[in-house]
Amino acid sequence: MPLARRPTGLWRDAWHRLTRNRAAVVSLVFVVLLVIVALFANLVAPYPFERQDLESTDLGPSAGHLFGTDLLGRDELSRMVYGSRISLAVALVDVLIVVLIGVPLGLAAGFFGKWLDTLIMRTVDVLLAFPSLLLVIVVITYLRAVLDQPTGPILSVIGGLDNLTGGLLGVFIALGLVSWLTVARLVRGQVLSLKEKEFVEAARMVGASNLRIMARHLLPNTLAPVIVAATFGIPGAIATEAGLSFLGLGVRPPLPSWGILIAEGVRNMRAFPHELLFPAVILAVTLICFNFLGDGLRDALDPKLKVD
Amino acid sequence: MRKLVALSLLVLLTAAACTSPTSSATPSPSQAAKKTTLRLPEAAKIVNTMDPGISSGGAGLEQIQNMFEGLAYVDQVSGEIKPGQAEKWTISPDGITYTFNLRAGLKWSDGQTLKASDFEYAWKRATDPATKSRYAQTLWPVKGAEAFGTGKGTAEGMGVKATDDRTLVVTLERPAPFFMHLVATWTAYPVRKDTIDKNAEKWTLTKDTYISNGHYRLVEWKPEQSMTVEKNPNYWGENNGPDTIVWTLFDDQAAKSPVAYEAGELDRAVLVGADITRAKADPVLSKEIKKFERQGSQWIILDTTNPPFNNVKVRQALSMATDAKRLNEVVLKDAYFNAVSIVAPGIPGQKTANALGYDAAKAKQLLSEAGYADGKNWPANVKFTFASGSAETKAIAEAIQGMWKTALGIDIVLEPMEDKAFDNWRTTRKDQPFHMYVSGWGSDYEDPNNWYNLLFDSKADFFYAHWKNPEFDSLVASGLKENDPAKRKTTYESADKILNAEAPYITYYHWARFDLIKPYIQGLNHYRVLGRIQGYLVRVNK
Amino acid sequence: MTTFIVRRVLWMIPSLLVVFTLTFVVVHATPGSPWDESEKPLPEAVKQNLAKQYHLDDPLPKQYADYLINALHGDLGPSYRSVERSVSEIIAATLPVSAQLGLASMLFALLVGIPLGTLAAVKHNSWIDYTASFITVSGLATPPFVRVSLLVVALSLGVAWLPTGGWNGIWDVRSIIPTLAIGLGPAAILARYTRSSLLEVLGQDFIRTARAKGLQEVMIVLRHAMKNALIPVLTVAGVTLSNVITGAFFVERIYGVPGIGRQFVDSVTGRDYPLLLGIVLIFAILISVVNLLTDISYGYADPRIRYR
Repeated sequence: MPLARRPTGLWRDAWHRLTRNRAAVVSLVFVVLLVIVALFANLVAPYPFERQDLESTDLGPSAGHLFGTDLLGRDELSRMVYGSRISLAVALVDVLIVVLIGVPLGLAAGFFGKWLDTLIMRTVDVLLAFPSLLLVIVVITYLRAVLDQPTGPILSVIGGLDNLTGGLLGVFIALGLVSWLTVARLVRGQVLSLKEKEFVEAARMVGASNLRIMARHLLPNTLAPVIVAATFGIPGAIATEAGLSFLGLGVRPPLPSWGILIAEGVRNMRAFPHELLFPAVILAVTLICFNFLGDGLRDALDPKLKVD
Repeated sequence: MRKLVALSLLVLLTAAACTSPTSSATPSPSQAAKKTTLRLPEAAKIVNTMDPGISSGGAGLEQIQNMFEGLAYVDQVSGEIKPGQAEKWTISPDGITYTFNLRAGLKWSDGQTLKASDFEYAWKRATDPATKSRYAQTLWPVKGAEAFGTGKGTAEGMGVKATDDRTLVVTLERPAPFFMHLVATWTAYPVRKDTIDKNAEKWTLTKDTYISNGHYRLVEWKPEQSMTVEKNPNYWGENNGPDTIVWTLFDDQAAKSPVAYEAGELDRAVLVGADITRAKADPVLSKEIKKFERQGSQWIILDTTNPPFNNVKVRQALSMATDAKRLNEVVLKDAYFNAVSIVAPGIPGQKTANALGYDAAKAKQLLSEAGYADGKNWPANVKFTFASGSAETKAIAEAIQGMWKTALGIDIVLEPMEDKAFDNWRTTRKDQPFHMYVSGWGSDYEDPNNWYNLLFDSKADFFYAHWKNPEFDSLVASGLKENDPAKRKTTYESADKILNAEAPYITYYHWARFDLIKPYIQGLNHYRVLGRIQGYLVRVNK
Repeated sequence: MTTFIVRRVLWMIPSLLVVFTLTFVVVHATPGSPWDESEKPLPEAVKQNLAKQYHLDDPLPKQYADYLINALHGDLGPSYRSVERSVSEIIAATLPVSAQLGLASMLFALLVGIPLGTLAAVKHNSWIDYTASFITVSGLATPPFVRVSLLVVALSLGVAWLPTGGWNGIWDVRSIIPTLAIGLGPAAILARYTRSSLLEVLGQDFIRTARAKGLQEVMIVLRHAMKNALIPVLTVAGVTLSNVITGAFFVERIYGVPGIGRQFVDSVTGRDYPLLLGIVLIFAILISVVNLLTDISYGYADPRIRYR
């Protein structure tokens, strides 16, 4: 039984297994690089993201502009570099919401059942049908109206948060309303089936507490779908950000994000294919790396799998 | 489960078997020689009512105009008012009473006789508050109409009466020099009482119930998809246009119509942005480009009572630091016409020499005279507000923000707003401060009154710039009353000079339509004032 | 089982009421009026008349009660923007289109996703696995609005096989591009979930027992593993089903499909509140039913799951 081992041993084993998975290691390197690029965007980017040059608009890739320029003559590479900040922040928040809201609620609903299950799952039903876009419009419109003259400490803090993230508050609200719903249902479904299994019965027999059963026995077994859900939520989250930004509810122009760059690229794709190509390919590569890393993590954390 | 798999395989197979391009809609060549079809794009979102009495214009108007005709209409080439269903009209010397004489033998599209009482019914119906018209104010100059429309009067009190089958007498509240333009408006088109009584609001949905009196009549309307019309055999005049017109309805015409056009599904496409660059570089498409003028201006409105824009030098500096030529030619790919002055060209009174023009060095100097040399002391958080619905407006805002930063060293915060929230914000600017926002204006009719008096006069203050200049106000007031065209023009020109020098508005382009039109289409025209494509003027030589 | 179903159906009533009330409250807090539709604002007197005619000047509690009473009688009221069609008629015309398209896309997703995921799991960490991951992830990494635009450029302009847009029923060629554009996402998601949960199951004891007994690998996967891996796949299928039936806004909009997704978003951006409330109610019912079906299917996939 892996549970008998000390946790440090478990983690060391997992790390060992992870480093032997080539795809996962390459992905890990890429993701770390991406985080570094995002953190030090001002050092990495060849130009300021907002610098325009109306003499050289819509240029294809060249030595001076590796990814070409956009309709205002801004360097696309620099915009991608700065855009990674927004997009990684959105991805991170999305994953946090999945892990911190979706997983616990799903676990609780599946494990305790009865009224708690009903309450949580009916809430999920309600939120799936609820027009969250409308709520975002309301909150952001009011917020930006009152932020000019902030009244009271709470509004100032919220407003500060919105400004600090370049206007991402609306995106976070939207994600908070919707991105955990699928995971909560997934985990609950998994737990419904798992809790009837022998090892849970056994743990109960030896007097394990509910919390312990959930944390030690059920949670690890729901990891696989959670990892998939978390990584797959990311493109959705990035698209949500782009959509909301286009509605004037997201980041303030001229701040770029990958979603915005892709959406602008689609409009121009037949005239200037490079404006879609670079952001779309980099987003795809990033997601593939997240996935390989997620798969690697899953394999590494799964004590049942043998490393070949 | 197995059944499901079999079924789905069938789906895939049948789908693969018939991958030939569109077949049903396009007629075969032999038919096409006899029957001609004009295929146009239209915006889907707004075609929500085809009821002339209710429509607020916008999209859907082109279809209504092709199927209906009022007592008079605006000629789409000359802009003159011409007799339509009325063969002539007389105006009483005091300008209060209009007597319209209808043509003999007028018919509805279903063959029934059209009478003057149909107009009386239509005008009263459009004014009736219960009709929920979005454009009822058109008829308010008619005696008693505003009272009836706001629930204070009755239909009987309205000054419109059919004295016999071919005579309609209209009495106005007070003289209205532009009344004939209102008579030509869709709100004043006749509608048929029996079909509306029978089908209520659903009368516009099918060809049997949507009875019209214009050049064309309805064949089919598929909401959010398409609309088809055919020649109306009962129209009084000639119609040498295409036999049928099909509009395909797009949520985003500019994005989708070029694709459909290039695939041969449309005869006209709407171009913006990068597609213009591509079309100009393409050997075939470059010959199919057509650019039409629309009499309008797109501008930034400044709150002239709110610092720093209460200082005229700041306004002038911003105006002169805006390189509108570059903006249109480079950023917008020449989709519009370069801005020449605040008011659009063609309006009597507009004079290009009055404009401040682009002069970055002068702008810099003016700003430093105002106390903000190189952006020093420039207040933080000066907001540039715009509706975010169009990607183009966003690009414009970003470009102008960059231009001002480069030329003047000042920082502006871009504030995009969700479209409807922006509308709401805009209407509350009447008594609340702002810095600047983006909007535009197009002529309803080609007259200085529609610009100087309606928009800029301090009592009208349509865009809430809160700009007040007594000299300007008195000039435009006397211009309105002036009967001598030459004197009138010079009066408005003096007003125009004040307006441009004071710079409450910064125009960055004049409106246009940028189209691709297939070479076999002739006569397709957008008239510069409220122009819509009139099928009867178009020839399809295919 | 019957009591379970009855109870769940009864639970829909409070769910609907909550969704409705929340939406109603948010709707009336949202700035903007439905009437400004043309380029120029309407005169205040006209707006006031419209508000009066549509009973928008009634006190809110009265509006709420009136709407609810009418809805109970099956009358969802008039649409503000569409003069000629009522809310019920718009929903009746657009929901079937989205539902057909959604079901076709789901079918496509199941037929492509599950075999692909199974293959990847069986050939775990081989080049087949990596290729499958690569395909599915890059499929997902392109947001739907990019996917549909690329498909149109490739299939309608490139090779000119298909029309550039429109709708003529599910059996017409015009449904191919939207089906692909909508279905590719769920296909990728299903493939990933199938892979990960199959891997989870394949590592378990009873599979090893089966292998030890010398059962053929194919049989092991199909007979034993698949069934156990089904729970997350069913959950995801359920969630995606409600997503696709309730309309794929971007695809419908770009390809010109007269579906309910377009109406939903337009009713929010156009402030057509009766239409929005009507659609939200219908969505809530649909989502509750799909989730109920998912829960029932759990019982068949894993007989140990019992509903009390």
